[in-house]
Amino acid sequence: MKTSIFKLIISDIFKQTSTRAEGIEAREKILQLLKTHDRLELDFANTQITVSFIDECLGVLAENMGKEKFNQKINLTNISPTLKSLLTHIMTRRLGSQ
Amino acid sequence: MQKTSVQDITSWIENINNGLTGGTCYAPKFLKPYHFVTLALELKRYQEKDIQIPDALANYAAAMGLWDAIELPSPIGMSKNKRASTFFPIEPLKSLNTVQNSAEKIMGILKSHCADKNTAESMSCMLLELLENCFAHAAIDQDLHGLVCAQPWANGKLAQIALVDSGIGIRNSLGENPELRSRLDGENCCELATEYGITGKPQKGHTGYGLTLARDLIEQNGGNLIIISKSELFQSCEKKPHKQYCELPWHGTLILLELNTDRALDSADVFNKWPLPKGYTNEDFDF
Repeated sequence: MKTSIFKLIISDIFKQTSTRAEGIEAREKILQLLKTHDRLELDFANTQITVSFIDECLGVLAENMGKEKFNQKINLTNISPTLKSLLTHIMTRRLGSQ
Repeated sequence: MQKTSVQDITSWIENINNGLTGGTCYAPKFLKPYHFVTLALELKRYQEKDIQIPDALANYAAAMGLWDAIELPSPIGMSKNKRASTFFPIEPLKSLNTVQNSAEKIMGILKSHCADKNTAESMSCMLLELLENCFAHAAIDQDLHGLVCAQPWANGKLAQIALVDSGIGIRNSLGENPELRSRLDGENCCELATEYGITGKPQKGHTGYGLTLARDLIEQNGGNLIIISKSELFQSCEKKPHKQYCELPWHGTLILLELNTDRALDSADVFNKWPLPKGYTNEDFDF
């Protein structure tokens, strides 16, 4: 069985990645793509993102999907050590607040 | 290079106030970004139209965008290229949508002064949070935008970022969270706002990371953080905390950051030291 993987380059698709509204927009795009693809690769190269954007986009996704499904469906690439620590913090905080 | 002291700022605020009420404001010999953002915001608030600045300072004030910030024609023409290369002139924070752009422009000036790539990324992360806070928490008067200004001094191995708003102040913002009201009764609100997890809007997904990250990074760097909100002041300079009541309040919130440019910043180290929810670890996600 083939698994379809779609690569989404964040800096190409989302010109602004700072506000909560932009985070919601990005989350909706990701959810749309997950309807037609088994797995998504989100490439964060050359992207500056805020806590608000991460929280609304990936935090809420992780909260709704759960950790296992999130790890199974979404692969994050080109993550700097700074961004990795921030993502981990925000996403676990979302999961921990459930 | 000497860092800004609490006395420097409080006496400058008093000086601006004297200028607005008595007509004359005495400028210090060495002007920094915080002088410009505070002066610009107060001139705008009082809708001053007749501003006379001594020739010796006028060029610098024009380059720092003082007249642009108060929406008056500048008496001195200034090359944008000259402005762009050495400092970040006063910029109004007009909309949440421009925060990212403003942060990128400030980093365009500061990046080459950062100790390494990780330092630049950490500084950028902190800036984005602080600029965004201005909109998320300050409830700013729409006609009186927040202002930001920055300058690095290569020889002084220091960079200053100054951010002011005319908003409701930290105490009122934190007071929106009922769980914080008892602590606010007895504590300095500016210091409280630098504590991990403190936010006025917990139910709206806000994290309150901005000032916590700023304090942790500044302390890691041995720099200087001064927060003034209404009549409360908190400083952390070279890891030494200080708090006080201000006789003459600032009408909103002022945040001053001074970083040693010859020392690194590592926000990953800061995030890793913050507590995770019970049962979670840094290895929970496959990044």
